[in-house]
Amino acid sequence: MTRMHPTKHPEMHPKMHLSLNLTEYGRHSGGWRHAASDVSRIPNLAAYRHAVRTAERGLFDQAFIADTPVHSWGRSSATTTRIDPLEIAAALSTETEHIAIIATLSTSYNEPFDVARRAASVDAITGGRLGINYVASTGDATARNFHRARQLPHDQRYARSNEFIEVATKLWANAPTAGRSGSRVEHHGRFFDVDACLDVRQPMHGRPLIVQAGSSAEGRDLAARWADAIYAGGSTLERAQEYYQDIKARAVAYGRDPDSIKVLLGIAPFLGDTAEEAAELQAVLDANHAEGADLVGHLSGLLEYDLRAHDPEGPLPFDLLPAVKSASVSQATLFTRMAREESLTIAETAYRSYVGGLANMQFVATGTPVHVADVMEEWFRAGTCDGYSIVAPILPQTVDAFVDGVVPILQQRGLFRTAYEGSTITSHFGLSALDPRVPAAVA
Amino acid sequence: MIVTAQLALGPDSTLPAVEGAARGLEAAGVAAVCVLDAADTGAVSPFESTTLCGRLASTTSEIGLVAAGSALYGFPYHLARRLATVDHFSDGRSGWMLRTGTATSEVSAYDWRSTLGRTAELHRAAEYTEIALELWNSWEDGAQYPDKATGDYKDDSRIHAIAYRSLAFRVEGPLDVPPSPQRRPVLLAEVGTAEEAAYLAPVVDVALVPDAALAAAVQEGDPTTLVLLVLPADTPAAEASRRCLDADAAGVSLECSTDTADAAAALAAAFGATRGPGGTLAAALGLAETLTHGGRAA
Repeated sequence: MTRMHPTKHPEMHPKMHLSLNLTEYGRHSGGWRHAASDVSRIPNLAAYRHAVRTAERGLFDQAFIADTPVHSWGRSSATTTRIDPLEIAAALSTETEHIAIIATLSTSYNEPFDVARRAASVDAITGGRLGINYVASTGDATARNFHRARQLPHDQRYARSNEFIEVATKLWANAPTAGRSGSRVEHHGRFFDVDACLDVRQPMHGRPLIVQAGSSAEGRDLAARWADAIYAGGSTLERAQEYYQDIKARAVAYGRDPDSIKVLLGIAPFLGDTAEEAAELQAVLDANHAEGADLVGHLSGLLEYDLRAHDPEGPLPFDLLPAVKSASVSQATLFTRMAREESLTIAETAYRSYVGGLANMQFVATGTPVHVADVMEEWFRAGTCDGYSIVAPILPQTVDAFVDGVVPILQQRGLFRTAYEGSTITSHFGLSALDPRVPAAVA
Repeated sequence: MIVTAQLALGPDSTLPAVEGAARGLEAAGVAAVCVLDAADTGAVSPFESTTLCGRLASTTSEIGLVAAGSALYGFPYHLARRLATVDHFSDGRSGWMLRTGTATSEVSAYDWRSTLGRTAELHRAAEYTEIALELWNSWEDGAQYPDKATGDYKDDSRIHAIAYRSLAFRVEGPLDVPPSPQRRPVLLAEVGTAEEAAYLAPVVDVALVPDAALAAAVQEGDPTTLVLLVLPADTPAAEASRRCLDADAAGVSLECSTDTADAAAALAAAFGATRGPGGTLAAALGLAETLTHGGRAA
């Protein structure tokens, strides 16, 4: 494979960055019931392997592995098999040479020292291609697997996240290398009390790539401070533009080059050779998932308010809805706003909240490869993002169709790379090195 | 004779060297390779044991992969999840080498601090292991059945919370990983004192001992526990054979590095090392029929 010369003025010819949301059957909760989905083996390592290889064939920057370390009771989110993301990243390292692998880790229920040593190891196993998506976990059920009765309040979750990333980052910055021994990190904070030297060698680029997601003010701030990339949601163009501007402004306020944080906008592409085929795929997956499910009960859980006493054909009782305590604020806000802005009934909102899973958090593009490329180009040129997180509704179909159909169109339009610039997380983002991100006061 | 190896990682452990060593041991009939990282050896390397085993799952096909992981630090839920993942990826070749003590690097690295001595550590390790065992046993057979016709991906009525509570731990469960081919990793631990033998023999499936006296102590603690004698890789074959017989051990665990893995493989071949048939680590060690699920510790 020949390598392209680095673009002299990348700002003149911005290229999209692409990430694949890596799962066994796709992020649509109805994906596994599709006739073509292979459910003979769970977890299905072969499915992960195929998807990540295809993403690399499509020159994607990264493949992303989501995670929530708790059993999911009921049918609503039954599709994603949960296994350890760093173990998946290590196992997938044999399949690929270029693509970065982003593993999700909870800052609420981990210890920085353990994360620092295991992530450093996977960084070495992947040849410096590891990224970490730090998540402040939500929900009391998850807390109960980790010695707590309930989760921390929202503000403390983010305070803990901030301190967690700080400790892990300091451990890597002071870790031993091939040429020098490490030095101790002394950290005595609100959540962590660590006095230790990492006993695994420093990651290749000093630290793994840092990725964040989150739409609350605290989440945005955390991303602006730490992240090299952020997975963004945006259901309208204006909202995505506002988000993009806000993230870049917050990064500047932290003294950072706004280009050093890439905003990857979530997009769920339902692809077909014709518009009808694509619409049919979406309808089939939605119906697969919603059939027989307690839709209003699901929405009640998201909003932390029992809607079953209300007329399903009437509007949401907006005035009665509480501020959510345990559930995701992002999701509750999204569906409330969706219902209000589109004048949806409770039943319609419940159906939307239930079908599609995470696809609800992103914008959906349903149609031919040309249509999806058009939408991606329009939003990209409108200043909503630096690239996209492809929230594949169904795998392997979506990634196969995207790489064979959409990628060549984006390349023809000069919007996407035609060869990898290198095989490291820094080269994908056009960086010569990763900023160690060690807080100045403690560097 | 059962031959296992302990591969100590170090500064010179490159990925090709580690994988070459594992494949060499595999070819020599070694039942399992236990990967020791800096928390076991004190020697910094680029790797940590459980994640390296995740990679080795893809680059080996028959040898058991024993990950060393703390039974004191971190969270039992995560440990259970990681090893269940390795067991899935390796088609049932996973093992867990319990780290029951505190490495120098761990002394003040974690939330929990070991301040009450060795007995308290062993007690904590036994609880930690019990939680992991209950988590691995939290799905009944057949609870995972993706039925496209009905839309049921699993049967929640056959998946159970463990609701574990002790002074040190509170873990609700169930595990969010469906049962792996082996259901749980084979549990191993090094036993270096009589107290460790008494505590750990009932907890683990395999005890690694340095001499005949401790082999006897393990047998006294639990006669069903498999005893392997730890020997350096450069032990002459005749001496190794004699010491193994003297200790009445079922086999040996050969200490090696990436540099001396060849010697360990040669010694294993001289012993006529073989793996029991079946493909899993439990089968390779002859434990497939007796491996129990759920909590072992009293």
